[in-house]
Amino acid sequence: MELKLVFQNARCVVVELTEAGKYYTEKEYKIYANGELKANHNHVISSLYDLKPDTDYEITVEYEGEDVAPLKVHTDSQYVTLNVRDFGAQGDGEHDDTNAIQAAIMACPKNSRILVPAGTYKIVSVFLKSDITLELAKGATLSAFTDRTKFPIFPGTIDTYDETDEYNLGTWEGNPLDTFSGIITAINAENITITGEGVIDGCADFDNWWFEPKIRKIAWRPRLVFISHCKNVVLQGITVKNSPSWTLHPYFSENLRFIDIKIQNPFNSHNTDGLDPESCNHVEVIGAYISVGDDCIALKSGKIYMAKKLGIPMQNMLIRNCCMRDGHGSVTVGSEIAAGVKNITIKDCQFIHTDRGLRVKTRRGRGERSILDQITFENIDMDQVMTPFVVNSFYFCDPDGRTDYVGSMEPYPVDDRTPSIKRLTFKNIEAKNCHVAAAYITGLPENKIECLTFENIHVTYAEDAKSGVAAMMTECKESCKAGIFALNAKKLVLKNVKVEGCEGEDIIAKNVDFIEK
Amino acid sequence: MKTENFIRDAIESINIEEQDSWSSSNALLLMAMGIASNHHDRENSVRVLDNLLRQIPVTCRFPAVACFYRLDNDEAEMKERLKGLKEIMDADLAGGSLDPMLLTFYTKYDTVIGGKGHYKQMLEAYESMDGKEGLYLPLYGVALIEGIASVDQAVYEYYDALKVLFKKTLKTNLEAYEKNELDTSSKALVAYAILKACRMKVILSEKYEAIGNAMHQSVCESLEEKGLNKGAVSLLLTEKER
Repeated sequence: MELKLVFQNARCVVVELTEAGKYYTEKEYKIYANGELKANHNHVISSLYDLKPDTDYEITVEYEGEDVAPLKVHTDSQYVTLNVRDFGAQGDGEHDDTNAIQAAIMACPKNSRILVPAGTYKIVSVFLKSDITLELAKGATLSAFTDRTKFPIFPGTIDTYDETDEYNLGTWEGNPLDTFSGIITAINAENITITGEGVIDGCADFDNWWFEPKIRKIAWRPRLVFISHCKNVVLQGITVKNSPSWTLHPYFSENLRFIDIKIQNPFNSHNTDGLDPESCNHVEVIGAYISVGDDCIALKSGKIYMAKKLGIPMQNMLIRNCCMRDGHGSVTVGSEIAAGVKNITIKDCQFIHTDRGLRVKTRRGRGERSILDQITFENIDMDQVMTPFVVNSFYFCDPDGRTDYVGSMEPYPVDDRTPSIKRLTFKNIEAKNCHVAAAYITGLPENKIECLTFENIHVTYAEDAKSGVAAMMTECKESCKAGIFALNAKKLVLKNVKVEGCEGEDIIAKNVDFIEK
Repeated sequence: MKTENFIRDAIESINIEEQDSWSSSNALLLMAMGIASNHHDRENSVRVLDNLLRQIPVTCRFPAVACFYRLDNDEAEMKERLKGLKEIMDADLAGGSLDPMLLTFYTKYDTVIGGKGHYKQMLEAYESMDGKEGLYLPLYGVALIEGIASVDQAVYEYYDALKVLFKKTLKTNLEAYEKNELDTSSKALVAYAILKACRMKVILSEKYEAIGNAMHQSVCESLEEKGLNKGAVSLLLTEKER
């Protein structure tokens, strides 16, 4: 067991207790900074707040009566603190504090922080600039208005004056469409940190943003945090909840870190994915807790128009020590993945009570750049996940999703609209109390999945297993306690795979060229 | 002359009994009527249009265009009136050689009723018209902007492909305008397409709106001209009033 530094700034450090568990530690432990007890904790990743800038700290941990080797940290320096109340924010839950907070942000010099102290601050849409730290203190809530007429609109595209190109701002489900700006928005900015124990509450409900969610009214729904064409962005500690649509949406951005954040949307809210990085590079998610109404984390790279225009894949992402629960998918790849997704690792996580563990959703029409490759899940515990592994190549939820072209199980000609799935690997996974099926995997008949590897997998079923539909595709029928079903793959590797208690055959492989056991 | 008066006078000149008279021109006129009746409380326009539409079999393709613009807000009525049209649309699309305005209507039909499964064929049909000998480019421009307005933006690649075609057609139409080769009716069509495209932000207003307005002014000065395509003019007048 070892104490490692995950992140630091002037006021906070985040540490990790290695080999102590996946998201939760097996035992509660005490954590100290310079001898002062900071918390009794049961998380692998732990944030320590209220530190002073430019100061030496010794972080120590007492785990089951034993001391773990201490960690020495020197906090970053800081120039000034701009308290938003000094800029006129009232934090009374009524007054519109948007302008006051925006003023503090725009006035903030480098190496400083904008502090939002305890209170409820009503805002519409706040824009971030480069080189800032926005700290939401304990008890502070940025609480969004829900009147859509107050929100700025981001046009999907704006033609350049010479008409040779276009500037993209708004984005909705993988296309450049008019969308309200995010409650927190950053465009073309860098070196941004949002930190602290506070909350950003989108205040979405079934009588506002989630009412008739699939109908565009003025523009498409805002994200809670929208980060477009940015780099070096950290979200640490904060809680984000009740998002109007996707909660955190980094878009064409790089070097992003999401550390010890909490994402909470009701299980029945509409399209409230937790974190949807789209065409981003180098993304880390560490110690996040995500409980939402759609996919907890969904990796995206746009629909075919954006892929043809820019062709930027979603790549180089690490998700570790996270807990995902209650969503449709724990980690989803798709469905807007036309520019591909590659080199993704998900490890040391807990998936609890989601409909699916891994969820790949794609379809004909995503295009030849839609290549999914080197996606690896390892050391994962799942409990009460309806179907741990789902790969759906016939996903029907697009506006044109229920056409024969998307749904047909017959082979179509391979052309520039045909997507590909290459290597998916699942290792060291314990999935207990499953319901619908162990795995439901479908490739396209005209372009089979290249290689699926299952190694050290143990699946058991709930005693009161409920039936359900494993994949959102026309041909998928309701099932309960089904085993592993694989259709249209070149190679299927099954090493030490145990499916206990399924009804019917434990493994059904159709149109699979080679099975290695 | 006020828009509604012009349209009413124009529509009264249509002889319903003569099926042969159902041309693109009449489709444009009915479209204008439909648009106008949706945007203002124009009881008389609605009455005249409804009366006309009741007498025309829906399989008579061009009036179907008007149906959509009249019935846009009543999906149930629209579905009822347009029942059975899918087979005709499939046959028309398979057969090729479609009138541009009919294609416009089918695009809208496919978006609202047809499940958006025909977009690829629609686009191919639009593309096959491009550059074809004898194509009346001002009407093609209208068909494209109506197609852009009708296609579901969420299937963006088709929306964008139509935009590209529209911009290309606009360029050719503007070249003809600069050479003074457009008659009043053609000007009305091009102006309508420009102004609607500016409103929809398909093209830059700062570059094109003034041209559209100048064309509109020129058309307004020629309303008494003989042989005018009243449908085209009506359409432009409704767009200017929005």
